[in-house]
Amino acid sequence: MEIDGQLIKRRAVFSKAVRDLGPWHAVSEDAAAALSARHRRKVVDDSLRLIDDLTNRPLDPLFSDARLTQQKQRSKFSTWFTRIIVFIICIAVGFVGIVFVRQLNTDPRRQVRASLISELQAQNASLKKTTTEVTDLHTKVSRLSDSMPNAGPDSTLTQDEMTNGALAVKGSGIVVTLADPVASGTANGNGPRENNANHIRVVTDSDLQNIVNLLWKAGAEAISVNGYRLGVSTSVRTAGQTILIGVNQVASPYKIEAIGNQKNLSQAMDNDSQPGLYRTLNAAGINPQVSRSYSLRLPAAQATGVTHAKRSK
Amino acid sequence: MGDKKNRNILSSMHIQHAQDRENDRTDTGSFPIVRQRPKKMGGGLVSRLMTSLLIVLLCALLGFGYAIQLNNKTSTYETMSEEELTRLISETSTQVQNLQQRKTELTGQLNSLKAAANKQQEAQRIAKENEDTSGILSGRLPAVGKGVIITISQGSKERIDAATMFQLLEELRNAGVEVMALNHVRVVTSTYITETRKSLECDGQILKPPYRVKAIGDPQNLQNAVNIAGGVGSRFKVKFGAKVTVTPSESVDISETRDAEQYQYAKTVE
Repeated sequence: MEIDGQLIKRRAVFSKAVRDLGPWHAVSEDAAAALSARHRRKVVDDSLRLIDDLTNRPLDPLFSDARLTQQKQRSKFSTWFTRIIVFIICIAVGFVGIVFVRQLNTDPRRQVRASLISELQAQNASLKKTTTEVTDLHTKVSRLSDSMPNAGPDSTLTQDEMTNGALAVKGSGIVVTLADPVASGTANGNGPRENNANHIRVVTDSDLQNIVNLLWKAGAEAISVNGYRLGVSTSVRTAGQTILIGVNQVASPYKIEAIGNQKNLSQAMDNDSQPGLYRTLNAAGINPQVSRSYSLRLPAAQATGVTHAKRSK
Repeated sequence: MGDKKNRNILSSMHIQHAQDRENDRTDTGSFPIVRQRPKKMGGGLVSRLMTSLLIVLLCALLGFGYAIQLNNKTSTYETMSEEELTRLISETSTQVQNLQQRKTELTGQLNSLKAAANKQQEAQRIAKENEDTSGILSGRLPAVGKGVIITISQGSKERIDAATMFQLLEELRNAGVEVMALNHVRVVTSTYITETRKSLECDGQILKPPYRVKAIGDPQNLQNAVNIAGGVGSRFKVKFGAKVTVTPSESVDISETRDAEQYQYAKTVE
């Protein structure tokens, strides 16, 4: 549409869609006859016209026209005032949401559990303390007795203590690493009674037991899981959804270090020799990684005494 | 004739067209004429950049938070139930008690070693004592003491598998067992259990049912470890249809021994 001899394209009313509408009025018979068949169909077919309007021109041209013009300028104060109000409302909604979620998650026994947890932590602290004391005393005693004339280091004792995992050792071996599938990351963050492990499988204590068992069979000489050495009385087990090595909690990723013949060990942990194990683990999205290492250092296991058993002969 | 009609139509169309133009006029005067697209409110390049920067920042924060959540390893105790916590506390306290005892033992040794007139003799005595302790633990020496005897019959539903058997050993270890023997195999640190085609195999020896586990340790704790609800004992019963009996005994005699292994790869660290 031309105004002042200049083409204005911006306004919706002057757009092609509107221009193509064509005149809309009663046509005399003669005039209708004169129009081409194609044009007549275009103009006369009411229902098609309606559909066309609905799909191609959903907005009234005048309305979209109005949208193009400058909005009434609001004052800076009112703009910022609205923004602040909206911000406050957002915060309030978020806060109330959090309060609700917390309310729904409240555990009536939380207090009891909190006191149990603090007791457990105190126990663990004293366990740690006593362990270091015992290790200290042990080294003192053995140093003293070794320093005696004609009583060098006792080879039988050393061998026994190696077998029991009571001595820190180093050597070459393999490292098996396995981690929970990423999708199950939230499984640990739920309440104690929700058992999300049913939906997505995570690494369980029996998986670790299985691998440890296999490594012992393959002739491993010393094994540690996440830095906790397996001694004669160290167990791999679960409490709730937490895996414990002895009394120490471990979490994914699990790193099992084993000292021994690298070839035998990695062969035993091979995909080919353990097809069943790998099939179930892979199906759950757990991919054990086996790597060789030439310098593994495993700490000593938790020291244990003997109180009930006596030498029988 | 035709020419006239044509002209007639043409002029009528002309008039019609003029009318249409008048009727279809959209220049209502309600809206000012716009000659160019109005400027967006503050929609400059800078603000666009700021918006994308903000989005990038928020995405980064989200990713960071997610990674932290994934690696959150603290306060795993929070997820345990009361029963589990109580059990863990009692187990830990047993361990602490054991260690305390060991501590007094060692302190006594140290003091007597310092005070003894004949230091060499005393040192030998202590070395012998320690050797006995670690020899009993390592399976080199036979042992006797109070504990339990666990008998597990052949499974009536299916054959008992190695994993469950291994789990039993782990549960007993956890309950503070000191010396164990499975059938005629002394259980040590490196004991493994596997399945052969017909039976279980433990440390290279065939195990035949009924399985018999001799364990020296606190009988009450050991009994609990097997019989706890949902524990390994009920697994034997439910899954395999095996009969499990736990008999406490004042004197469990474990005469099975084994030679200490010669280690090739592991070396002690000072």
